[in-house]
Amino acid sequence: MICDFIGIAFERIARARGWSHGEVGDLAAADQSLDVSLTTMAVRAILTPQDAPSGRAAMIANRLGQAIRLGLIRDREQFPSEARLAEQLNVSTVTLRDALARLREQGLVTTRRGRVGGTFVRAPSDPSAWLGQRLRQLSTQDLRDLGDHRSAIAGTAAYLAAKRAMPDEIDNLRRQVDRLRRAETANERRRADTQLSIEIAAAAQSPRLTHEALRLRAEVGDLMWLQLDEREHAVAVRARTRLVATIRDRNPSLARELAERQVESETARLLELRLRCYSVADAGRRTPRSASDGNSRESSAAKRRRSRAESS
Amino acid sequence: MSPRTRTASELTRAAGELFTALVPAFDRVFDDLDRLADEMRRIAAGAPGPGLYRDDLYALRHLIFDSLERHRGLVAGTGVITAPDLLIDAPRWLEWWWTKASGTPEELRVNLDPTAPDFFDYATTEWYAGPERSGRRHVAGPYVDYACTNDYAVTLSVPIRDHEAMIGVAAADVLVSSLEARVLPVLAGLARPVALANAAGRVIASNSARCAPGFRVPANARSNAVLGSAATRERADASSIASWVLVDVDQR
Repeated sequence: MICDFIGIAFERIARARGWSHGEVGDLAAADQSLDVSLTTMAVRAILTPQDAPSGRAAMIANRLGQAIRLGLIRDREQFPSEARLAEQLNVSTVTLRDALARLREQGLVTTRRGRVGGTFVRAPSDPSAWLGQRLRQLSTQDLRDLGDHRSAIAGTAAYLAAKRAMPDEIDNLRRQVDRLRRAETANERRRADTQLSIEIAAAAQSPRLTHEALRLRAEVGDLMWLQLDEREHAVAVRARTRLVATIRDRNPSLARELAERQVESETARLLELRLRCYSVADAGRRTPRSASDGNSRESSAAKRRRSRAESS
Repeated sequence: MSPRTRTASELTRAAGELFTALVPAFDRVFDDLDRLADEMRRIAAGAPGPGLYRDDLYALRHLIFDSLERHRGLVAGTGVITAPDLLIDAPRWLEWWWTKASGTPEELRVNLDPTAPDFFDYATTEWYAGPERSGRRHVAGPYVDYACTNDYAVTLSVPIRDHEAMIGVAAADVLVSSLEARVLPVLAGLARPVALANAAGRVIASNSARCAPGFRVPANARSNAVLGSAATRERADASSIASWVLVDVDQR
């Protein structure tokens, strides 16, 4: 409680004096880009107008976690004060505190006390472990539907960009593809690709498509790219190079087709990974359970999942 | 008078009217940007030590907030963007505020780390590089401003120079939807389908359903009138709205 009062009091003083950036400690000093606030774009990706008030803490935790994994909030970045962050995300401080506690449990943030204290981001060092966990929360139907939605957005964005983009916007898209080509880690690749899809939607001159591209990437961008090897990365870069060239050549129908094909292959890839999760989970379950009598509620749920996976 | 000559003179008259409808409002915004630029120059000149810090820019805020208030309904965001490496404690910086629906100014946050994929590389944007190159007032866009308002906007900007050195730009975002309210009453009175477009041929507003904002002007569009030259030839400045064109977009 005392901490809260201090936090709020500090926030008031900071506002009165016109400070907007918290004092950064030793950790923050290592990186000059650390500022104690989220980017406007990150806040927009985290919040959507349809957000229902129920389960808001879980939802905010979920979205913040996605934003961390997507790189919109960077590793080691300091979160704003609770009051400021709650204000930015438009939730009560109670809800926010609940959400932060969930993130702490997942190991995505860490809170330190003291003069240089605060809540800091801890991006997962092994994203593939998290990938499996995230994939398991989605059914194959969810993934297919997500693919349909992404296809609609990416396809239309590419179609309209090919109709409307001006030369400086094409140059910008090329720079983004170069960035993707040069990116080395899975993290960098996924973020460069995210940015490319946002820029294509912006070249389509549509704020709505741009917003939707950002939101969809926040939802699934982190599922992509993690398991791509060098050859697959090269294939993806080639596909995007061709898409940008098609936009430059003002061929809207082909641009749509190429963008849709990209989404299709990414969706197929995710479905394969998801199906693999079923077989791995079941293989893991079968062995120990067959030794015991295995008549628990959990095992019947596993059976249901198995039969669903087999029938699809 | 041949139909073609009649169309041309009608376009020229409407272009002049648009110029008159838009320029005073834009000039008032530009005047505020000049004031911001002057204040920024004063801050840079008056810095006690060697070099400037982010804190030094706090003195700009009252001007920024005043300007947002004065141009409510026209200006969605405004501020000063520093030249790369001007500030000691931030190689790149935007002292930028925008108004959300609630009406309170919100500080813009963008990723200014050059190694990040979502790096906001403002020095390459038209609204920064344009006035840097020309040394004059500039109107950039329209474009999707996804970093800030997430809306379709044009950006008015002026260079800030300290003697010869570029120290930044002062800029303001104007939403295309708020421009439309001033443009379409003029265009609605015309019998022919016409579009107001920027110099590159991107539609800002049009009285034709076939030519919406964001479209490119059809390649076969026949006649057009440049706003600036329709009003006064001296003001046909390629970097301001004087370079915007009114285009006959009749496809028949």
